[in-house]
Amino acid sequence: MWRGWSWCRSGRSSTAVCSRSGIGRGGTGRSAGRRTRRSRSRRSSHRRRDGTRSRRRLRRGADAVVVAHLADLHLGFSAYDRSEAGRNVRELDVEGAFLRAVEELARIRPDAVILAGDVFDRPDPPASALVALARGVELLRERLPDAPVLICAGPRDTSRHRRDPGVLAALDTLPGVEAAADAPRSVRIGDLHVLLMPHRSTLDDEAPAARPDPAARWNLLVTHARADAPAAGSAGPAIDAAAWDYVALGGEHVQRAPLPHVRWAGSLERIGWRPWEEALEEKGFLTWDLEARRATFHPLTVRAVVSLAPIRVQPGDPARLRRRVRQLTDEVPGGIDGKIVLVRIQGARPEDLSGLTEDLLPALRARALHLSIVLVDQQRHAAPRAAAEDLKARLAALMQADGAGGDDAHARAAALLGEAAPEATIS
Amino acid sequence: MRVVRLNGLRAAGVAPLDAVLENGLVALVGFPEEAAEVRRALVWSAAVGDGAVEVDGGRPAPGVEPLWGGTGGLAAALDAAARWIAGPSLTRVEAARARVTGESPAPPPAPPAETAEGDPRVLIENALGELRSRERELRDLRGEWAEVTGDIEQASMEWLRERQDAETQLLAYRDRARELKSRLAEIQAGGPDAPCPTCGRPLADHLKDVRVQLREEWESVVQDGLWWKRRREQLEGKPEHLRALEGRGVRVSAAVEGGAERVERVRTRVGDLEAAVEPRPRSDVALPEARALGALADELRGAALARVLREAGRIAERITSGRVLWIRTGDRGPVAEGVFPGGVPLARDRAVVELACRVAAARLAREAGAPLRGMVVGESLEWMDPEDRLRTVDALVDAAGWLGQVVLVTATDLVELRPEAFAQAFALGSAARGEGALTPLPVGAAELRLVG
Repeated sequence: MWRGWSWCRSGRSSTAVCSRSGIGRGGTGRSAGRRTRRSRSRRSSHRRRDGTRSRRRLRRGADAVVVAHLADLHLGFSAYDRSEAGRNVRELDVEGAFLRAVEELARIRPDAVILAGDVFDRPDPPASALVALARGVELLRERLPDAPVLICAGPRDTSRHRRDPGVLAALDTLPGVEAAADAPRSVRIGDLHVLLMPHRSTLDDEAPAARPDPAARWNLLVTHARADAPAAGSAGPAIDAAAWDYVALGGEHVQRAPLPHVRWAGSLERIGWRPWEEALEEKGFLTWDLEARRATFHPLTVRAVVSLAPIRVQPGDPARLRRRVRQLTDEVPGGIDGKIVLVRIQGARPEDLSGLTEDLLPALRARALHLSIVLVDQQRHAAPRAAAEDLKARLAALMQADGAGGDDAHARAAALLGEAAPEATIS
Repeated sequence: MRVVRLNGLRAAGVAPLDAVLENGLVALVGFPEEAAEVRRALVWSAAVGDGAVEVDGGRPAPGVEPLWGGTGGLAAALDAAARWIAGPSLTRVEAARARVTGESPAPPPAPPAETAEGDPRVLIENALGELRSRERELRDLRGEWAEVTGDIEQASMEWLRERQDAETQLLAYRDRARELKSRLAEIQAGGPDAPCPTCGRPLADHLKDVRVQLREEWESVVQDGLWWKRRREQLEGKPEHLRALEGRGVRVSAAVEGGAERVERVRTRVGDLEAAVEPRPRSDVALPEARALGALADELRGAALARVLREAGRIAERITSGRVLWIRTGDRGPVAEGVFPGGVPLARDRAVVELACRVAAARLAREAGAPLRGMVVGESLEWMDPEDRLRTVDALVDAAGWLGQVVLVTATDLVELRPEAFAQAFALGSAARGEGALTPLPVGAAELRLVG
């Protein structure tokens, strides 16, 4: 029998609560039952390793109850086709950032660790990414045996085949880990109630609404979604922000807070295809003190991304452009070696870049991890219109060059083109 | 224009497609052949206006069609964009030139006329239908050819292996027979004092028994050896079924060549028909005024094209993360310039150039007033580097933002890798496998509405 477990069922969702440990979990229908049954053995091993500290701290009256909020790990991300020891350098960067975050977490000692989606970069991650996550979770379990690891799947962790729960489901079998891969899950830890809403459930129109547990001291919502401040009026299911003590979001790679207690932690590394757009953003994770209602950002050291000031040159001067590019890249503090660099050039014509492609650019690219060159076109949005007089003047010039029109070329051009103002530019 | 609905769109190998398409980046995902067929059917059905593809605003205008669906190739898209960008100036210059020469000017972008019996568009559509059917026929023949060559190879290997096996067995039996014969001769010569072949002691009274036993064994070995000799002789020539397969292979090969020739003939016809609907090249004009107006029109078109290529270069730079730096005009169309491993652009770079040019052409034409609210892309993505392909999704999301809708018909795994980028996605089911025509895939970024 299910000694020590009591059930409450409401509508489509159900919640199982362990009366001994105070840990509960919920879900929908039969899958919740299967999970609960499966989890009995690991709960017992969790309880054995579980000291009193976590439960004591996650109860009313504790001086500080802190949850760590990480998101968008994107383990398995690779880019730029550069390898070290047979592995993509950016994949190693992402893995390194995660393991540094784990070290930092071990120092901070939060009461719970939350991963708010896009743990992997793709639904079928390389084995190395799985190993990295497993190693990180194992380290967390060793160093923070009392702090549960609560994982919520993002779109990148979700297979497009509805019956496939995704890779994260494998982690759900680990002691002390709750990984919601497809259905929403309620987890009760002492006085803390955490609702994990994985990506698939947020796309489901019939999914039950996210509701806090009125019996819990603190309610925490974890999901991977876009959301705006109340005034912005975004679409999607409504979330009563006031009903939650903290909403941990994933999906924005830059740290952001539409409300003080509704936050994106940002990604651990600059994993976008235009990393220089985040060049000035610090990367790391958040902790949220449930008692003090205060967020703290914990920065991580990640690979340097350099976006250089635009180089302004005159068109048709490739030699000067070459000098300026060399000069500017030489002036980067610490050099460009191993960095991701963006060089912006203003004023040059595309063909002026031919002065760089022969040897300078390959040499710079050999030093930097990646170097991108962008032509900043000031005239991009300029109106492509020419005055009617310009067109007539040009026609007159062409006629004169062809020996036609003589002194009357301008009058003849005007007569030919009529009076309406032409609009397209010639050069 | 943008696709609003598919009403039983038919494409080879796929069940009729019915769906309501939204704005944003929309994907139709299938196997390569299915995706190619659906892409072609989608574009041509919209162009012909047979009702299978419902487009807002009716059938696409001629000046917009190459930008929307890529009909007529990249050259047509660039030319259409140049006409929109050069706009009223070009129209005015061409009209002035027509007045001077008495020729009719190139028609400005305008809504298409109703389809008539002799309409080149109908002829093109018919020819394309035939082309699709011939291509299918060729694909089937190539499939059969691959199957036959595989069978020939397998049968050939089996034959050689068996022949080698027979040869080896025959040699082994010959050696054994020689050995037994020499022993018999030794025993015959030694008489009762001959040593026993097993223990080495004199045979004495066992001489007769041993001799009989060895002779029987020798005879048995000779018999078996004769069988292997016959077997080897049998296998000297190619077996009947291998010869039959080779004959079939020759016939299928000839059929493949014939099929390829037929496809080429229909392709040429399509090319001729497409060329016929394009404006005729200007006749050489003796009037200096006309020459000047012609030169001015060329300058206007050239300047517009340069703008498109400059924008395309920017997009290509972003997609390739700096491998392609800019795009210039070449003899056979736009050419990528940049830093390439090996020094020259590869197929993956050309694929990026093609897509970037189409997106840039659509953007600038739209800014110049073209009634364009969508485009259909896909083919070039199949050739791209996987990393470029992911960055292309970002470029297409951007394009869908300013354009309204981008329909990506593809065989790539982009929907799996970037689900959040797509507004809508469908898996194409194969008719042969009895699958449903379109299966919606879970895509898009989740959105929450914060209240309270």
